[in-house]
Amino acid sequence: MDKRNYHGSTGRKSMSSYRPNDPVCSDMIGGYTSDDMCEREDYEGAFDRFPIGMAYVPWQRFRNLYENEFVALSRGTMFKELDLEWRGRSCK
Amino acid sequence: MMDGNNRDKLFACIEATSFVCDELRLFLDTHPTDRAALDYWDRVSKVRNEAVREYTKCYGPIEWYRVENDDRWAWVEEPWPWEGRC
Repeated sequence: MDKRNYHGSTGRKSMSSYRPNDPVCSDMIGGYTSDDMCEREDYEGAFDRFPIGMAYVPWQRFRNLYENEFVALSRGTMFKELDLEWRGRSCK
Repeated sequence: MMDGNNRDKLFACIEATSFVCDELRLFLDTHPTDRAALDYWDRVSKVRNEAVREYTKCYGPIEWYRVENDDRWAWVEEPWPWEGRC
């Protein structure tokens, strides 16, 4: 990602790369297409190609469902893949 | 007319199918063309609607926006949740 977009958007005079007549996002258009990220199957092991500082969620599939709605309710999810052990704790 | 046992069963069915509808809604928000999820939605929401209609007919309204009145507001006739039901 081009850093100028972020530095420029502050509007400080010292940032010579700021061009007030151009849309701030113009550099990004064309730089990102949906092919970059959407519906990619190969992201595992390819994290170095992802922009840093963003959060990514593995794409969920409609599969491995609990056998009926009563089991789903008692487990708190209808997706077996989301029925995970709770390991929450504070980060102090 | 159903007995109390059937009433509890019907209510449990509404609870469980409502939960699955919530789950499906969340999934479909991000997968709006997923055929299997859409088919499951059709099945479960149909059962839920049927169960709510049946329950409402036999025992009174459980969704305030479905209240059908004759000459009085039927919503307040059944016990409130803190009065031992639901």
